[in-house]
Amino acid sequence: MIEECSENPRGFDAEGMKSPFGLNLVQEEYLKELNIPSDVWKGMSPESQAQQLEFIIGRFNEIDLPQNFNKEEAMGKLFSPEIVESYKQLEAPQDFIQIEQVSDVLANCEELNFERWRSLELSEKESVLNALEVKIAEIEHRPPCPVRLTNMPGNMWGGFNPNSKIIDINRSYVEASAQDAGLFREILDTLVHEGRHAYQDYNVNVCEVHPRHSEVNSWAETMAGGKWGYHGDTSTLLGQRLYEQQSIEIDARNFAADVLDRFDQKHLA
Amino acid sequence: MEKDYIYNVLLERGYNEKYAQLVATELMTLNKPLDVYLEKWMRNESDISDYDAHGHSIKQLMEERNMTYPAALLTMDWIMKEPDAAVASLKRGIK
Repeated sequence: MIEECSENPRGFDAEGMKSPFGLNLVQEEYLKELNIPSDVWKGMSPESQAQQLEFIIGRFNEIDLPQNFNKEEAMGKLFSPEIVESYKQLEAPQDFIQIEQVSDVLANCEELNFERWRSLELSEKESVLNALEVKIAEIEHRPPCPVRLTNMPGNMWGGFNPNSKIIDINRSYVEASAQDAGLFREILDTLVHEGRHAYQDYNVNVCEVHPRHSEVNSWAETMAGGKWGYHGDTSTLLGQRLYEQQSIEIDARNFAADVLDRFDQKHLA
Repeated sequence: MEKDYIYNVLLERGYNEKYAQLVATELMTLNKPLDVYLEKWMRNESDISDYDAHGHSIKQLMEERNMTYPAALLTMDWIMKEPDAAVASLKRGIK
């Protein structure tokens, strides 16, 4: 069974052999191999526990998970409670919690008081954006990306480069944001938007930490055939509508809009 | 026009397979007169027509936003079909 698992854990899909949470029995056994009883887990060093969790994440990434797979339920059935609890620490919070926490970060940042913002030098603004990105990345359970102010065409606010993992923001808009509160808000929206692209990329290409597997699937489909075929503005080849309606763009736009709405409410309170 | 014909012309003119597939499907449903413009361009790459709607034109989309002619046609088609959404999207820009 184990050898069979190791040889073909992804492809096996025997009818009538599904577990209640949608995995087939081979996949279930493949994951269960990594379970460790509670008493043994408690005696392990933190380093060994972290390594074991990485193995578990690796196996989840390896398996073709069903569309509506409930990871939390499966974890509870396959692994000891201590492993489940540790695994939860790795998983990113639900979106509504992320939105709340990211908007808190923005609301608690003194430099984002507009009067203060407009007095900052450009390099200081860049430092503020980098410091915010570090905090946002922590909330999203992904590594932070360097944020660079870059010369870009006038119709581009920013971009996330999936190869270099750098977030670019249009330098001229950051400069002009000192004079215009609307532009200042757009800069923050861009930072959160590009950070969400970094989160999508991390979930699809590195490690799935997002709680909803079906959404990660949808991002993966877009990345295979859309914007992320190369870094940059695909509206130049596809037109504005196909660009705008990619699942990764809709998700990033909505996420950033929700964060900024909450930020506005907290800022005014 | 056949979709395969459009697809092959797009490939010849620099599109990769995935993008050519996506764009060819969309170009099949262009509004008038954009469909005629596309036919002319299919026969001759330098035959580019202009059209204005809601403050945007095909040539402006190509010059200011660096769009290819097919991308500009698709964008103009969206402006004609859903002007509010399309104009708002263009105003929002690329992130």
